[in-house]
This record gives sequence, C-alpha cells and structure tokens, in this order.
Amino acid sequence: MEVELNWTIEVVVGFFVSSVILSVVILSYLKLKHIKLKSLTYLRLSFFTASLYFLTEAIGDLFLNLFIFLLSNLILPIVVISFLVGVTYSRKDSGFSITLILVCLLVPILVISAFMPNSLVIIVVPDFNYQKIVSTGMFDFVNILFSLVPGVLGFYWGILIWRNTPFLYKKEAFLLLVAFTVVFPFAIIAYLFTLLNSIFVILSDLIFALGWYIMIYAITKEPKLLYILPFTVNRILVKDSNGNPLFDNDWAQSTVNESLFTGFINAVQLMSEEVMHIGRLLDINLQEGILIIYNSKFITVGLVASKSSTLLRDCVRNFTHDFEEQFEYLLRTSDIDMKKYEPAYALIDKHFSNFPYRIIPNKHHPLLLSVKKGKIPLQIDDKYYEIFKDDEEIEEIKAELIRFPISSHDDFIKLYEELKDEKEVEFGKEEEEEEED
Amino acid sequence: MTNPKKYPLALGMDHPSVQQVIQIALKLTKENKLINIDLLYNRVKRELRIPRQGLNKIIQMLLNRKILVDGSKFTKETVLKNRVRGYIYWLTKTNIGAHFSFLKKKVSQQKEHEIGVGHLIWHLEKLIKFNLIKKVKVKNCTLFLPIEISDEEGILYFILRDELNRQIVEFLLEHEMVNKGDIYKELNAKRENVHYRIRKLNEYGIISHIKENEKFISINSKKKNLIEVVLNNIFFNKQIKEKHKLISLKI
Repeated sequence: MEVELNWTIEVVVGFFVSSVILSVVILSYLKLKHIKLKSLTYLRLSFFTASLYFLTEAIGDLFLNLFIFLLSNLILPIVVISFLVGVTYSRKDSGFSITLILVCLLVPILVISAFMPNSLVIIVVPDFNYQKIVSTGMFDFVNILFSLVPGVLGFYWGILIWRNTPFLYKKEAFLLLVAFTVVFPFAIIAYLFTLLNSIFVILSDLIFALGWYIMIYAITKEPKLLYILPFTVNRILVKDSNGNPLFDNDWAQSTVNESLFTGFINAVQLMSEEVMHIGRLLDINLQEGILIIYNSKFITVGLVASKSSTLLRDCVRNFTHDFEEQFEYLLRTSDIDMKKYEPAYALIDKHFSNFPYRIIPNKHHPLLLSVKKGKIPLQIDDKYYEIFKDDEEIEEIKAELIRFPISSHDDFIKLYEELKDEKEVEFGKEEEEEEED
Repeated sequence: MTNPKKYPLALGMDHPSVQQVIQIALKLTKENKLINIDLLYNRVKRELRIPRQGLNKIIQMLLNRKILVDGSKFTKETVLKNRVRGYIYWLTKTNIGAHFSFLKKKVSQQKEHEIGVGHLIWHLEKLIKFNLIKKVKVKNCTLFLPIEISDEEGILYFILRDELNRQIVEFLLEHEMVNKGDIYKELNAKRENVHYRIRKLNEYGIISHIKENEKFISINSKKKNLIEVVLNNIFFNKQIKEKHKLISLKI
C-alpha cells in the first residue's frame, strides 16, 4: 500500500524546530557534563520532550495520522511538568509548588478531552490549501492552557533572575530574560492567533524555537543563573582541630555575626568527641541564615548561607573530604600557615562553582588595590611600621586609611600613645599592689 | 603534600593574565583613578584580549584573595563590616564597662582576631570616630562604652563588674545602714579586701558614710535607682551568657 506523504510548510518547520531544540539540548549536555544540577536536569528533560513533541506533531501531520498527533499532545504535560519542576528547583531548591499540583490536576482533563469525539480533526488551511490536523473544543482549550503555564511562569522567573543577579552575570541574565520574552508574550501571542488562522502555528513554532535556543545558550554560558534565587552562599571557613583558621572564602557579605559564627564552630569543636561524631553534619538555624558545620578527622568546616539545602550539605561534605585529602600532610604536621592552604581555591571552584559571587554590589563600586604601594605620607608610613607587628597588618591598615572620609592619623597616634602602656586594672590586683607599697 | 595532578590548580596568582590585570589596576592607581570593575573591564579589554568571562573569573579571584578590596568610604554602617572591628564593638556592647586591658585580653583569646595592641587601638579609634563608642577615663583606666550609655552608668558597670564590689553593694541595698566593720563577716571575705573596696566605692560616690556615725555606711541615695538597674542588667547578662554556654554544651 502506498502512503501519500503530506509534505507541508508546517511539517518542515516542525522537523526544523525539533532538531534545533534537540541539538541545543545535546550541546548543553556536552558543555555542562560536569555540572550536576537538578534544575538543569529537569529543564533538559523538558527541552528534550519538547523536541519529541514537535517531532511527533510533524510526523502526525506528515502521515495525517491522528494517533501519532494525539501522542504528541500527550507529551505536552511532560514538557510542562518537567519545566515547572526545573524552574521551581532553581527558585527554592525543591521541585514542589502549588502550580505543579494545578498542572497535574489538568493532566487527567487533557487525557479525557483527548479521547472525546472530534478532539482532533483534519482540516484544510484556508488560503494555503493544505491539510493538517488540529485539536478542537475542550482538548484545544486545555492544550492552550498547557502552553500558557510555562510561558507565563518562565517570564516571571526570567524577571526574578534578572533582578536578583549580581552585576557580574547580568549580561547572561538579560539574555535569559530576552529568551523568556521571546517565548512569552511573543510566541504565545502568535500561538493564540492560530485560533483565527492555523497558519500562525508556523510563526509561533519558530519563535518558540528561537526562545528556547537563547534560553539554553544563556544557561550553558552561565549555569550560576540557576543558583541566583534559591539561596545565597556567604562564607566558608575551615579550622583545624585546635581551632586555628586555615582557609576562608567569601561569596557575599555575611549577615551572621562574626562572634556567633566562630563561636559556634569553636563550640562544635569542643564537643566534637562526645557529641558531634566525626563525619556528622550539623545545621544551626540562626535568625540571619543557616550555619552548616561539618566535623571531620582533622578539620571543621563552617558554611554560612541564607538557608540550608541538601545540595549545600553535599558540597560541604565533598569539599571537606577533598580538603583533608589534598592537605593531609600539612594537617598531620599541624601546619597553620594559611598561605599554604591557598590551593584550596581550586576546591572552591570544583565544589561551589555554581554559586554566584555577590561581594561587590555593582560595577561602579570603588575598589582598592591592596598591594604594597598604598599611597600614604612617608612619616605616617614610618610611624605605622613602629606600631604594627607585620607587613600584612600594615597593608590592612593602609587600605583602611584611604577609606576613611576624614584622615584620622593624629587621633589614632594620640590614642595609641595614651593606651599602649595601660596596665591591667583589676580591683584585686590594684589592692595587692597598694598593700605591697 | 598537595596532589596537583588530582586537583589542577585554579586560576592562580602566577597566571600571566592575572599579573597583567594587577599591573593595569596598579597603573590606574598611579594615574590617581579610583578603580572600579567597569573601568578595569574597559582598560583590560583595550590592552589585553581576555574574554569577559575570563576577566570575571580573574576579578573574582582578586576579590577573593583580597588583592582587590572594597574602596568605598566608610560610613557608620559599613565601618562595622570589618570582622575584627565588629567583634570589638560587640564586646563593648555585651560587656558594658569593659576597659582597655579587658578588650586586649579578649581579642588575644580569639584565634581569628589575633591582632596586636596597635591594631586594637586602631579599631577603637575608628569606632570612636564614627560615634559608635566613647572613651571614659576612670583614674588610670580607660573604659570604652557604647555611645548610648551615660558616663555615670558606664562607670557603675565598670565597678560592679567586680564580684566583691557587687556583693558589698547588694548587701547594702538589702540592709539600709550597716556598720562597715561587720560587712566582711557577713560576706565571708577577707577584711582588708572588703575595707579596700568600701574605700573605693566611697571614692566613686556609690556609698556614703552616715554623718552621725562614720562607722556606718549606706548606698548613695541619689544613685540607688541607677545602681539597681545596673545590677539587674548584670544579673540578666550573666544568665544569658550561662544559657549560651548550656546551649553550646548541648550542641
């Protein structure tokens, strides 16, 4: 039996869109093979199924086969649900949301309406005079709803990310926003025009493909975009078993009180043997955020973040293991020179590469170069070399000196002269001295 | 030692591009220009051919290793962002009446904040400059008080931080008029210690001798209310500190 193929412009566009989406998914997989993010996995699944959706729709039209076309429409919920879960993961590090429940509730309606009589019909496109399959009635309405949900949600998500992205990644965030603007409202509006003339589906499909292409491109270029919203990682501190700091890294200005932070780590270290067994993770909820503490054989690692998550805990655990493994010799010999632990920045790149830096608020924020060429008058320089212990301390003071609105050098020297020899005053001691006299 | 094969080094300080960026930043400083990321981007883009993302990485690394540091002028809020200064301020707030040697001792006990005397004085001067704390001289001793605490209250805190002083004052609050020769027996303390403190408390105007009989002493009625407030605060602070200790023990 000879099958006549219904080659139309829509079929060609369908194959084209499907292959574009599939190729960007494959490219993103190859480029970000090392990055294991749940949100990215779900988004990829969504894009992959979207590619299948366009493929089956085109095949359905090509053979004018209602069953294959129906199959493509039943793939749509998977596209939407995986997209929703991916977006939700990148917002709150969990896949669950009210919208997800609502969308899941729509699925049975879609399935039922799909099997209602005349849910799919073959029509002749007016003016262009070719045949195609279209959904009608309730089935068509639910299909439109399914297409609207990811569009609206994605647009909102894009705005949220763009608004909260630190300036270092603003360009990529803008690109993501452009992608969502292409999908919603442009592609969705074009899709709604299919109600007037189904030829508009070609335009809608092409705009969708373009939007998805830009979206994947932006995420592939800067995967940190997926970790703008769920939480802010502030700081990590590594201490040896004697409480000496070995390594310190900041992502954002920490809101947690310094004394509280180090105090908790010290307390955990003191209790480590009796209460906090080696290899145990502890989450301490503070008003300003969360403190994740991991205690291992040689070190205790503390991480401050806006909230806890399984991903963060895993990162801390893996970072700790690698840190111990990499610096085992230094740790065994109780070396506390922080400079020797600087290669641990590579471990930060390895385990925390997805979390954005937010230390500098904008690109016009003034910076200083903290090298030994700070410009301060020579006599002040000499005096400071008398007062401060080492070069590092002097560098820190010099950098600070430039940042004070009013020069306070004289006041500082005066206070220093006044206090430098002040003796310890305790009533008991004073009394003993007096008695000795 | 480290295993470079297993953990390839991240963009290091020795990397030529990193060095070139530092040189450009240095050049900008010499031109008396205030560095910011925008300026650095433009200059690096013009002089070197580093892609934007690579430059982003270098800048992040320089910020991380404190080669590039925040250069904005300090304000009352940002001045406390320095960890050591924030800690010193917190010490003055939680230990009202703290004197210089107490702060010196506390700071030296902190491994994270191991700084010299000069450095401590530097931070104290900055806190004074930004009106966050004030300095009060009590004989040979310098107290650092949160700005909202009055000098009189601060001195009271300083005196009542001493356990025996506190016991004497509490005893006098309970018994309006007491023969000063009997107090040491009641408190079970050394006679000379108690006498010495009574003399000091009298000097600071916390207690006064009864005009009719010099052997009897009582709390200075003008300061009674303030003394009670300070004692209560010291008591509550002590309780809070003990609770914190218990919590950390439970952890």
